[in-house]
Amino acid sequence: MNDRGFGKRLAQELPRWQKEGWVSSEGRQAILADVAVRQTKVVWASSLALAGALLLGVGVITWFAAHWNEMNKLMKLIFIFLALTASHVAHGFCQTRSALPKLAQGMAFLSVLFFGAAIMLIGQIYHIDSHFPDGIALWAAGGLLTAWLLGSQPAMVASITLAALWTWTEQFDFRAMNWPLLGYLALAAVPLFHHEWKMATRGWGALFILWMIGWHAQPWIGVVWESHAHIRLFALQVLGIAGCWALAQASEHPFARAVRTDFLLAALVGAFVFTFPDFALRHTKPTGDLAPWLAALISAMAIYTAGIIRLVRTSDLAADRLRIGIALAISFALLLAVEVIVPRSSGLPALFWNAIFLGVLYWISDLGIHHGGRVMVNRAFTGFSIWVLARYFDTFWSLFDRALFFMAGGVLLLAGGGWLERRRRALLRDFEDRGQP
Amino acid sequence: MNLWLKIMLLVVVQITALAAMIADKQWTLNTGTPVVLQTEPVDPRSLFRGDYARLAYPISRLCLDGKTALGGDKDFTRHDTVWVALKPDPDGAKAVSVHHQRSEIAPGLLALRGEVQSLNDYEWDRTTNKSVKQRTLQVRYGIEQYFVQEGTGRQVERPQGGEKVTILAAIDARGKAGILAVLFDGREHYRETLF
Repeated sequence: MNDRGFGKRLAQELPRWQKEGWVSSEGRQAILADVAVRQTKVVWASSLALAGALLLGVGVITWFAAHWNEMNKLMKLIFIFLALTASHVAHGFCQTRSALPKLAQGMAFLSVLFFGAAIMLIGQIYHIDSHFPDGIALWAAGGLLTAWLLGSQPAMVASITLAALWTWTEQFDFRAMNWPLLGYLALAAVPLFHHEWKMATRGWGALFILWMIGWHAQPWIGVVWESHAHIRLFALQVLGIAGCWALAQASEHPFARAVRTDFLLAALVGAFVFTFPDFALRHTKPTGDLAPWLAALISAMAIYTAGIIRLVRTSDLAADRLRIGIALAISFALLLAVEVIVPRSSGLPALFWNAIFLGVLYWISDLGIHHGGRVMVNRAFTGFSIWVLARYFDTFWSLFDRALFFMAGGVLLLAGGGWLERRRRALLRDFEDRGQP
Repeated sequence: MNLWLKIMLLVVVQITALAAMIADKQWTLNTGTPVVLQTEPVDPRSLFRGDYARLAYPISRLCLDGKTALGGDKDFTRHDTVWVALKPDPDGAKAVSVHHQRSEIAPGLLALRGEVQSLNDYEWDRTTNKSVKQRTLQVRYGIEQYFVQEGTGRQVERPQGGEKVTILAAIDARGKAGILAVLFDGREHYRETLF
């Protein structure tokens, strides 16, 4: 919320708080006066400083752009290094002397952009034409250092976005596995743990998932989609990410709370993919040695088991609900193990997957209702709606003729969708009444 | 740690990283073996595009079969690292063989490292204007771009009197190449300097 919005909202809320007896009349006046004084000061100072910095920046950049060709290499280098240093120093001034935290964050973000510009300009001046993703990796590393040292979430978000671009080009364009990204993720986790930046942490989780998806673009996994290797790898990834979700769900650390939303979504999407019956038909011949896959299965199973054990230990669910949860977790892991070990030869595994998917959705919504987790309830309801749509198209289509299909299906979806939405809203209202987030 | 110390550390680390980029390039240019490379226009209408030139070399396209086939390995895939054995020549170095490993290059030849950009099974024969079956590798060495001053690219784009553009490249001990100079009919037109 911006400062002006905060003052306005406060002025609207305070009479009610006074009526409830939470604040006195004097307190109300004092709060409003204090907010008004600080608000005016910040707005004026911010506006002037921002306008000044913008004018100066635009002036300097346009002057150098106009004279770029006349400058020798040394002058160009000095300009690049000065611009980079100036953005860092400006952050320091905004943070300390002028007490402009938002502008300071803007300067930290600007310094990440300047570092990227410096890499590109030096590449141009010295005709450096190297492996393209390496330049983005260097840029992302510079952004990470900026975020770490200056404590800036915008710089961290910029760095994670660049790391996503880096891994995208490396894994999807150059088809090379980006192992160094694991080092980046480990280093980035340190400031994220320390500062508890929710947005950047969610980006971190999404980056990790992108890196996992990138495995499927690797030629050594199998260029031909008929290869069972992709299914095996996918099953292992779903198992691993479900384990990561369970570990995060069992923890109350802000970092874990932020990443578990993405991990839950990834695990649900993974399980949903296995519910398709025709998913099996094209993958009948497993290729390659089974031993490395079994070793990978044991590793993924270890992460998953550790997560489930922690989740069970920290759970305050009733014994019967907990038993259902454990049974579902075991079935989920067993089905994934089957996908790794045995090739699919019929739609039968898909039948089990549909049952387990619905069971998991039910259990997640139950867990969400119990803990007041809106995200979990919304995820479960969304998952159920998508599942109904998918089954509607791949089952009803083959059972009825076209006109009847649309009519019967339409009526069913309308009724089902309306009921689901009413139920979801009732649950969210219930959370509000209980005062849960 | 104090904020200003952190800022100082950030400035030092970032500028060191940028300086390392320059140092790496200069190391190649200063320690590398100079070799002349013939150029081929990427686009017959425009060798230099604005202030940035795209360069292609005869050694960018390596034949793997037929009469002009190179020695060495034949099984390559896209984005593989390749080692090309070069025989220096004042009129332009010639590629002798192409390998997966540097150790396979015969003594006395220069080892140049590249990356496979694409593999083609058919080639366009400019003399007959027909597609000919020939397996070729398109290789990138990191010397395919050259930035020239704004406005001067046009002058270089159409060399007067059929001038021939060649490149003086330096190849260092790691097999990395860098452009030392752009030559017009053997005369230096652009020369790389540190500052």
